[in-house]
Amino acid sequence: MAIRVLDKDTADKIAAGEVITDPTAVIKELIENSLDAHSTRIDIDVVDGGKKSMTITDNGDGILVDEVYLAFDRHATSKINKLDDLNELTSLGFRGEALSSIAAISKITMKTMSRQENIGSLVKLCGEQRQVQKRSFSRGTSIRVEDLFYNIPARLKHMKKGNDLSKDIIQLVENLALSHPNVSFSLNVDGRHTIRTPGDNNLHNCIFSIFGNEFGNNVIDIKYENKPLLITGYIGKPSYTRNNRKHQYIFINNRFVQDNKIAKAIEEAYENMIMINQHPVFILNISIPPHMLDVNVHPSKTKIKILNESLVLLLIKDGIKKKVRESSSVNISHQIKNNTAQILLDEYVQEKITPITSYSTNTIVTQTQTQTQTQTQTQTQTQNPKQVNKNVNPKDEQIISKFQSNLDISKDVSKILQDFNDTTYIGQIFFTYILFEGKDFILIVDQHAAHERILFEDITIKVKNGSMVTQQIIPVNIKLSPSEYQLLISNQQLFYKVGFELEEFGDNTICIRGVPIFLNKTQDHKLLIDIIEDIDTKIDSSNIAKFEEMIIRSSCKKAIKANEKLSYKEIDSLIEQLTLCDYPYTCPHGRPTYVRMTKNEFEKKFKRI
Amino acid sequence: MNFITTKDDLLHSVNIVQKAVSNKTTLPILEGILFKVMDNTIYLMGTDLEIGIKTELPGKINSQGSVVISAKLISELVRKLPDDDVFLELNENYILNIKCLNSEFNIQGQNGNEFPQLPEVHSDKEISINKELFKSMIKETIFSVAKNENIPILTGELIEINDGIIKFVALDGYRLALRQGKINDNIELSEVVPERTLSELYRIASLSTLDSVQISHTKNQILFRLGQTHIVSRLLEGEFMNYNQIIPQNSTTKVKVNVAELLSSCERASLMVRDGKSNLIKMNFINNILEIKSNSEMGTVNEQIDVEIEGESIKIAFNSTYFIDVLKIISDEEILLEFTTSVSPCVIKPNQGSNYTYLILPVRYIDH
Repeated sequence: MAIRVLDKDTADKIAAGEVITDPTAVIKELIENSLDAHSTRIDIDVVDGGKKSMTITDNGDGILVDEVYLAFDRHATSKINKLDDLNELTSLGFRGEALSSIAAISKITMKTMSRQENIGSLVKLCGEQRQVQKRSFSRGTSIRVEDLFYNIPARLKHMKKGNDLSKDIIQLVENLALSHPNVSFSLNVDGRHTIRTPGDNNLHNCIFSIFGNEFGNNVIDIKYENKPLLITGYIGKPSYTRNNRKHQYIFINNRFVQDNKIAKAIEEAYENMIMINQHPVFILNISIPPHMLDVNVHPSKTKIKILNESLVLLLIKDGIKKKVRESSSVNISHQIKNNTAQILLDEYVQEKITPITSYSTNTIVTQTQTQTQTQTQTQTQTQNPKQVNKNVNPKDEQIISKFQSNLDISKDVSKILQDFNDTTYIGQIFFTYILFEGKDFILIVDQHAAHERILFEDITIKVKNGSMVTQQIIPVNIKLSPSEYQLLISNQQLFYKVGFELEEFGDNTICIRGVPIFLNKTQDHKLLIDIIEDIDTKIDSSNIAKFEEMIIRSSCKKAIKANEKLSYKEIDSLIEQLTLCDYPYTCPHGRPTYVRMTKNEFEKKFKRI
Repeated sequence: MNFITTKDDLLHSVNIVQKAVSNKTTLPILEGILFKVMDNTIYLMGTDLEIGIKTELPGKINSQGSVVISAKLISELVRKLPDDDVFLELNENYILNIKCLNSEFNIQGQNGNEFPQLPEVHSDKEISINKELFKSMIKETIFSVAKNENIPILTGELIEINDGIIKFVALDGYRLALRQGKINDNIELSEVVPERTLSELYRIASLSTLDSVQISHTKNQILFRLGQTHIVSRLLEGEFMNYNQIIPQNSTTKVKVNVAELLSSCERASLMVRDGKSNLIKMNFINNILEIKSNSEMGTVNEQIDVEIEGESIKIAFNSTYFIDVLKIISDEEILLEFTTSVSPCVIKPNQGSNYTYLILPVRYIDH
């Protein structure tokens, strides 16, 4: 499309009056222009945070000699012709404001040559002065911006320090490089190489080149399609988290956006798996048809409006959740060399996924969903007796053999079974951790975390099915503070579902008539008091599902005894139950249930290698 | 201190007082047993400040004195001595010399005067109770004492004497056990004795050859006397739950059932209950048949027993352990089960008489 000036009507509708406030904005506009010009290589050179000079060189389409004059005019663009084009927008820029705004406040030298012509142009701009010469260059465009704000002393004075500006610029180029793995970026700051991406259209390589090995090894490739949504990119393993949100990148149609709602939805997908105050890392590109988006809400285009936002958020959350859970089992695909195991794994993944979706969308309980749930339950119930029969082997006292036979008959080739397969029980240390030895590694199980996970899942399923068992007790009356009383009474139904039978006794007194039974253990009324104390501070009872989860989480936390010596039999059953968990790798608060240490790590500690 | 006794007598006495010695204490001297010769008697004593046990050791006394010897060491040592007379002599620096045939030990002890005294229990009235009755009253109630300390008073048993009837009551919130018997003394008493005291008493009473136990008490101590052995225990403070209020007086269903049949059915049903998940047994009383069901992911079990039902049929579920605990200690052939609703307690009574009353609270579950 040729460059032309938009008609006044269109220009008025999209005009943002974007003000260039710092060098970052200049670089962003220029790189986006380069990207829109189909470049495959973009070199950026910055001196003194861009205050002195910034040079962006690309190998893109270039500008035709005849159009060079127009390029610096306001509202001149080749990207759209009329307003409706915005609906099918695939380019990053569209307003035709950038170059003219930059030209107004700096000295620009532009060298450009189009692919279609044999001669290019050299343009020098300084205020009102324009020099244009015909010269020959390599294909593409190179723009050099010098002396930014030379004519606006007030703004010049308030510019950040060069170093700070460089940091912003590096971050910006990171964003753009991650969103365009097909383009090779190279950033030089004060003559120093900072970023260089391969541009081989492989995002993983791009991540490696920007963040390094550790980061690169701890992310999982995901692709999730749920029309019209397509999510591609990399998400961090639940075990690899950061204590800030800096490594969360969201691109919508390859455009970097800052959208807290989406980030929050993705973080929610990690719920129960990561620790409090830790944040997952992710680099995701979400493809949504352009007509569902409005990018024209903020001059810098980092804000976006999505049609049916809440639905899209739900889809994103579910998709990521599915992938995160799957990831733990998918991981082993590298470890398994056996083909049959791979087939089993695939079947497992397929089978396992269905119940999870019905479970996670359970917040909107529909009849069919509960039906499928009970169906899957009865299925597992009928499957299990078979397991028992086959498992009966009186000499089978070793945990290992049990896992092996489990492995043979059930399709549960999850990572945890892989891990515990062929391990021998060594012992318990500090009354807290259980050791298992494998071929060249050991597994350390945190018995509390493991127990908590088992309890949590057990209770969650029971509560959802309404099959929580309550032991009737000789009634106990407890006097509460008015706020605690209110909390209990207004959520009586919820507590009933978890297994507490309460009755109002007047005068801020409740009468406890029944207590839940978790895992063969009758709890006592004290648990209720602990739960109330636990949740009173962070109360938000409007979100029923969340609140319910909080009660469950809190009740299993309280039900666990710390520092308990376990017998061999108890350990055996603990591990067996853990392997049957839906997501056995972390406790509901995100601490890992077990860690794996290789022989290598030990040898390193003893300086053998 | 110098005396001669036999190995058997010494072992017997050490075994008795050792029951009061605590192995987790902040006061090291309490890990020992006090040997004391005074007023022509040899005493052995152990205490953890909650229970104290004092007994007399027969023997020939040469001189007086006292010493505290590690309970663990002395009991091991005495057990392994040859079967003969034992000579004990206290030397300087609290070193106890023990000789038996060709063996000779010198044991480092501690000053006997530093050992705490047993609290004195002087009461004008002493109650005498048949030892066998006393033992069975403990055995048939003690399993219902609360295991955790949430309600401290429930970690003990109520001993109540009124109108010549003695009652032992234990309850832990989920169940209640009441056992009663007759005594001759016309005395009133209502005190709560810690569970540990009773279980040690049961063991000591089993060792004793005497026929009766004497009980006396002051404001916060109780003394049990079996011949020359004195067991002094602290009493639990506070008011015991009003157990009469908990036991329902009326019922809509009465079931007569054979204990042995019911117990073995319950035990079989509880086989399906392993390592948690579900510890329920479900009972269905209908048409003079009791159906017991239990299921878990391990499998299902279905039991049927012929019973005599009077009143409405009922479906009810229980924690199998609570039921089995009770059935195990009942020596009668037949019992009566009484129910009102599926969420109200089940009362277990003897078919004849009123020696015992057990109460078990049911479990509420949703039948799918």
